This record gives sequence, structure tokens and C-alpha cells, in this order.
Amino acid sequence: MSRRARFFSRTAPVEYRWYQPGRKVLGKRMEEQLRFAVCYWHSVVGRGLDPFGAETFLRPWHAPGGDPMEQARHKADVAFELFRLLRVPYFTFHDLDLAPEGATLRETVGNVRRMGEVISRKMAASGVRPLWGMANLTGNRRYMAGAATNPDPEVFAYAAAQSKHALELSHDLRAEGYALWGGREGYETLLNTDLGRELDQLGRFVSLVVEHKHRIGFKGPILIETKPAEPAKHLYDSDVATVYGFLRRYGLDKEVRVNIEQNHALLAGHAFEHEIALAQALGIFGSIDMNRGDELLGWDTVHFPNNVPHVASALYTVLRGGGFAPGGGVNFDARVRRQSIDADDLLDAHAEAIDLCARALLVAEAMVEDGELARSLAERYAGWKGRLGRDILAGRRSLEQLAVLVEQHDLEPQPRSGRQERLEALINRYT
Amino acid sequence: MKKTAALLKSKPKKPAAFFERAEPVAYRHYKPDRKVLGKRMDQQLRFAVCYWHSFVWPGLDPFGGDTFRRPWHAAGGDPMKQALQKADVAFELFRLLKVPFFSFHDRDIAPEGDTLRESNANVRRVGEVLAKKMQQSKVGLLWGTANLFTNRRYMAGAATNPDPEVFAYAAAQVKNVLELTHELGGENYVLWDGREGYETLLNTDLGRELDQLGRFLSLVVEHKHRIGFKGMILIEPKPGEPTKHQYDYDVATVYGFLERYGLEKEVKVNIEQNHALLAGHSFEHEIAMAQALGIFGSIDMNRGDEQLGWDTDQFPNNLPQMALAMYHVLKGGGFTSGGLNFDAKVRRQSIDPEDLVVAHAEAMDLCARALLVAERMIEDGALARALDERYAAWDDKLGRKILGGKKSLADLAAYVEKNDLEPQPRSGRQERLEALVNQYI
Repeated sequence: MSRRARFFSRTAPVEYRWYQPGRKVLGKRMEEQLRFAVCYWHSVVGRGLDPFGAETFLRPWHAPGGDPMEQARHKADVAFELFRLLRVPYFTFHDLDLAPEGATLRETVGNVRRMGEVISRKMAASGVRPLWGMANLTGNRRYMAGAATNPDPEVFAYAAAQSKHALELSHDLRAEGYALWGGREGYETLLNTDLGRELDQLGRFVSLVVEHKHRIGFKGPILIETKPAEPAKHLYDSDVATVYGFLRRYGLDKEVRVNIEQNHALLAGHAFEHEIALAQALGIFGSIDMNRGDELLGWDTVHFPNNVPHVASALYTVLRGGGFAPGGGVNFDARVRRQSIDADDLLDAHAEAIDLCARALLVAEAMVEDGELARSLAERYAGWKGRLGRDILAGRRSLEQLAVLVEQHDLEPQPRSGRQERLEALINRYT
Repeated sequence: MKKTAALLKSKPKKPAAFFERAEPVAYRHYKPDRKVLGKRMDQQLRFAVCYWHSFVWPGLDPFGGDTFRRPWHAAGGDPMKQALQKADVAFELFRLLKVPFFSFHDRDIAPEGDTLRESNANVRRVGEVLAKKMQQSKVGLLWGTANLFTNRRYMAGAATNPDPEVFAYAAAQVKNVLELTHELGGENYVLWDGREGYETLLNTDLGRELDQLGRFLSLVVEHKHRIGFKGMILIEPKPGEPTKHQYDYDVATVYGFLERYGLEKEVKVNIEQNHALLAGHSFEHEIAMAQALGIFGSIDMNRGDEQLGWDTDQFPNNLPQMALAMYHVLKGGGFTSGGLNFDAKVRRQSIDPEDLVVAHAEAMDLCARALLVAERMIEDGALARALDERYAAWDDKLGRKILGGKKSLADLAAYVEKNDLEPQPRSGRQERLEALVNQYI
């Protein structure tokens, strides 16, 4: 680092207004409740490209003509400097975020492994560790028609080999989890796609990853990140409900969990808290990618979060379901805007987002501790705790028996108010 | 009650002609007995007219009152008498269109009474009239369904209501409709869960409601077997509207739900074009997905507006899109007991009785035309061949071993390293395939 110009203007770690790592929130330290992670890809790999213009960030490690491995080390230095300034406990990465791709997979894996050693030393020095690692199976053109769902089984084999190395590297770096985002596992048109066959391929691929995880003794969760489309017209891991059906079909529902992103939920037509609550109800909740989509745009803008009531509702749902287990956390899968080209934009965006999440956590804590929301929910369903409700759910009443019951008692159940406006107003009182 | 019984005994009076024409429609493309891929056209298409949009909806929208003013909707009329008049007109439309099937909710055919006992009795009494009309006309019932969404008792859901007595009430109502469907020789029974969802998670326990819905559906399946009904039980997916979120969101969601409650071998889906669109999917995507997952049942043929976010239920009129939907239906083996139900309504300004006839007739003709396009796609085989070629390598040794579970991640990594594999991408040829589709039209 000393050989190069300083990247960030400040050298002292960020002072937070709300984020106090050691403060107890519902029996756990705040940092344990939030488990913040900075992602490598948007933060130090992104160049500020968009489909209508070239890069705007011009990071020194992206300078044309430089030595790629030297640039990878420079990037790692800046990444760990960012982690230090933010005092975040975790980071997340793809294999190809860390090191340049070589001419063959063997060479690529060699590069990634060499950078893994560099990262490992930095981790030892800083105490920062990966929340989860993953393989980039989306960037190279060999994957344009999918990795696991490619019409060519050799591409499947190539992706399998790449994933094996990424999973093993994650294991060696003591990552808490391993994630898969199937950004090319989908289709552009059904005219050239055999959807059922591709689902079988994807089921086989995830099964292989799970088997290998057990073989090498990796204890963390395997996570699938849901997204309905973009880049493909249709992605097979559309949303939580779709992934659940997929996991059941291939017998993986006890092995794999979901990583839920706010912007991806939005693109699928769901609220962030809907996806979290559904994953919890189905027993597959894993981790979250905290960011923000633009409700009026149809694509993945991955802004940093900034809406306190929205973030509080999401964190309330996380807490109500028992919080994060190891391998889960709040990963900032977010990027600064293309015009935010200063180094300190990166720092401020993360710091403000961390503070906002901490603030939202305290709102969620107030919601849980006050208990009014939970009480009104319990009251609403109280009838199901009575004899009729218990008998129905336990399978002790047939359609016939229920019809007799209704007729005998001339049942005419009266509707009760859902009190939505009062509950919505209640949320704002905690904020 | 007595009055109704007397009314039923007397021969139903011939109503003043509702439709201008008396002669059945002459079609250009729909020839019921023309053979298409080994089956009669009417068997491939299995058209059904729905009762609700055609005869029940009065042309209301959230901003204005009824525009249709059908005679059987006249204020102050005897509801049972009006129900019978509606049935007369319905069967007159079926005759004019020469459709083989219709579909109904219990509340479409008969008025709701003061108690469920009375409502069920009304439904049964009109059911007897329908049975006679079906016998005379040879029109069959594609499917029956219970209206578990209009009455305010269902505002917070039927199966997913916070009150188990509402669950019981809905169960009793479904029992009656399922049995009537069975007795009318119905080919299937459908559940569209328009109130099984939520407005806000603040007052909703999502996991609990899913368990309630799973239990409800299990009861329906059990009862189907108890009474010996052989048709399919179908769920109709829809992502939202009227609720913010509906549990039967789309085909993939329903599949996961069925797997969770052990119903994936018992229940299939009825897929609607407009509902697919609202869920962000093309119609053929939902059809292909249901076939791949083994839960394809029936389709609601209509058309949503791509620029609007709600269920407009227009009559279909885009030939290439319909041809692709029919191509996927045929490619997956066609309909068994399912069919093509026009869950479509004439626009609020289309107030003439003739609009109802023409909308259906034109839609049927266009579906027939789309079927013939789909037949050419299948017979020519170029689309299927392109697909086979694209995946051909999966039928070779490596592909078979991977899918057969005979290769581990480590095996594959060793294989790639040993052979220094660098697979080259091949063109997806999308533009050529899209152009090919237009050549069949």
C-alpha cells in the first residue's frame, strides 16, 4: 500500500451515529444481529460501465496495460482498507473478482489460488472473513447459454470444475457459506429451449455442489440467490416460492437455503419482507442482499438502501423468524451510481447504509419488544387455536363432516376488520 | 320455496329471443370434425364458454354502474326465475356457437339464499334444469367451481381465513359444488383462490395460511375420491388482484405448494393467459413449465393488455401468440380432460347481445386457425429438430453420465483438467427460429 498513492482520503475508521457493534439488541450484539458484509464485485471490481457508456470510475487497478496479478493485489489492498475503515466483519466474493481469468481453467484456478493466499494473510491480519464465496458462471461467453443449463454438457463440466475450486477456496478461507446465483440459468426464448431438460440439469448441478460440500467437510449453508430475469428473459430461480418447488423436486429442500435480495424481490413483484417471510415459512431462509431497486424501473439498479420503514420491516421479519444463522447476514450487494466516481463515495455509501440498517434494527427491536404487532396477529388467528381449528388442521375433519357442522349450526360467520390502516400507522410510531 | 318448485314443474317458457340470429354460426376455420394430428378438431380444442363473464357480469367497473342491462338482471325480479332465464340464454348461446362445453361457479347459476342450506338448495334446483338442458343439447360441463370470493364473509379468505368457521363454511359450499359437478358429468373441478392471499403482512401469518390452504385442498381431493369423481382437480394460478399477493401465484409456485402438501400427483393447473402475463410470464412459458413439472391440466384462453397491470380478460386475437400456446399444448400431448375455456369478457361498451356471439365466434375461429398453424409447426418438425440438435450432446456418454448421477464435482474437475476442455459457445439462432414461426402463419 505504501508504494502507491492512498486511495481513500481518510485514514481513520468511520464514526457511526447508530451502528454500535457492541450494543445489545434482543440478547445479541448488534454486529451479530446484522452481520454486515461488503461485496467485492460492485465495490472494487465495478468500473462504472452501463449499456450506453464506457467506464467512469477509472480505478488505478483497472489501468490498461497493467500486470493483472499486480492489479489484483492492488484491488485486494483497497478492499481490505475499505473493510478496515468501515469496521465490517465480513466480505463476499466471486472467484473471478479476486484474480484474472487465465487462458485455461488450470491457469485461472492457479491465479485464484495465488490471490486466495494473499487474501488469507489479510484476513489473518484484519479479522475480516468471507460471509460466503461463489463462482462467476455468468461473465465469460462460454456461459452465454447457461452454465449448468447449457445445451453442451462440456460447459456443465467446466462450470462444475470451476465451482469445485471456488467451493474449496471458500472452505479454505473459512467462509461461512457458499452461494450460487444462476444469472445465465434461464432462457431468452422457448423456441430454442427445452425447459424441463434444463431444470433437470440445474437440479443435478446443485446436487453435485451439495455432495462435494459434504465430501470436503464444509459446514456452511449452500445458498441460492433468487432473481426472476435479467440478464435472461426468464431465470429458473425466479423467486423464493419457485426455488422452493425446485428444491423439493430434486430432494434438496433440507440442504439448500435462499439468499434474498431486495431489488430481485421487487423485480419478481414481491415486497422484500414477503420473500423473507415466505422463506422462513418454508424453512429455507438463509441470508439477505441488502440494496434497493427503483420501484418505477424494471431492472436491477442495486442502489444502497435508504428507506428506514422499508428496511425496518425487512429486519423485523428477519428478527421475528429468529435472526440470521451462520452463513447468513446483511450483504451490501449495492453499487454507487455511475456518476459517483470519487473514492470516498464508496466509503460514504457503505457507511450511511450501515448506519441506516442499524437504525432500522433498533426500530425492529422496538416492534418486537412492544409486541403490539405480534399480539394483534395472534388475536386475529385465535380461532384456529380452538377445537374446530385444531381438528381441521390436524386432518380430523373431512369435507363431509364440515358440511354437516355448518348445516347443523346454521353457521354464518361474520367478517372481522383486518385493521390494516391501524397497523400501518403503528409501524410509523416505532420509526 | 313453493313458488320455485311450481316454476320448475311448469315447462320453461320460451324467452323473447335474446340474440338476433337464430342460425348457428358458420365458421371459416373451425371445422369440428376435421382431423388435426389424429384427433378431431373439436377434441383437440375442447372449447368451453364461461357462465360468469358471458351471463353474470353486468358491465360494472370500479368507476361506473352496469351497462349491459340483461333482462335477467332487472331490479326487483324473482331471482330463481331470472336464473332460469339466464340458463335459457346460456344454452341458446352454446347452440349458436356449437361449443361442446361450458363452465360455471355455483353463484353464477343460482342466487345465494339466506343460509348456506338455502343457497345449496338453489344451486341444486338450477342444477337439475341444467342437467336436462345438457342432455338435450349434448353440451358438456368442462368444469365447475365454487365462488369463494364475492360474499363479504370471504373478504379475508375462504381456506386462509383467520376464522376456522369460514373455512368450514367454504368446505361445505365446495362439497355441494363438487358433488353437483360430478352429477352433471363434469370433466374437471377448478379452484381459483381469489381471496387466498393477503393485503398486508402486518395482519397476516403467511406460513399458517399456507397450511390452511394445503389442508383445504387435501379435503377436496379426499372428497373427490370418496364420491368417485374421476376428473382432475385444477388450481388456477394468479399472482395478485383482488389481493396484493395470492398464494397460487404462478405455475412454479403452485408446484412447490403441491409438493409441500403431498398433492403434486393429485392436482394440476388451469393456466390463464392474462394471469401468466400478470405474473411476468408468457402464456407458453406457463404451459411448458406445467408440462415439465407434470401438472398441466387446462387453459383459460383470453388476452391481457401488456401495457396494463390488471386482468382485462379480453378475447384472444393475436394469432402468432396463440399459435405458440397451442404448439406447446400439442407438443406436450394435448388436452386430456382439460380444454380451452374462454375466460374472457366483452368490453363494457359492447352492450349488444350480438357482441357476445361475435366475440366468441371470432375467438373460436382464430383458435382453430392457431391450431392449424401449430399443426404445421409439429408436422414440419423444424422447431423440434433445432431443439434436438441443440441438446444432442446430452445424449452422448458425458451428458448421460452427468444426468445419471455417475459423475461427482471432483470427477468433472479432473475431466476438464485432463482434456484441457475449453467448450466453444454455439449460436442460439433465436432470430432464425422466430422467423421460422412466422413462416407457418
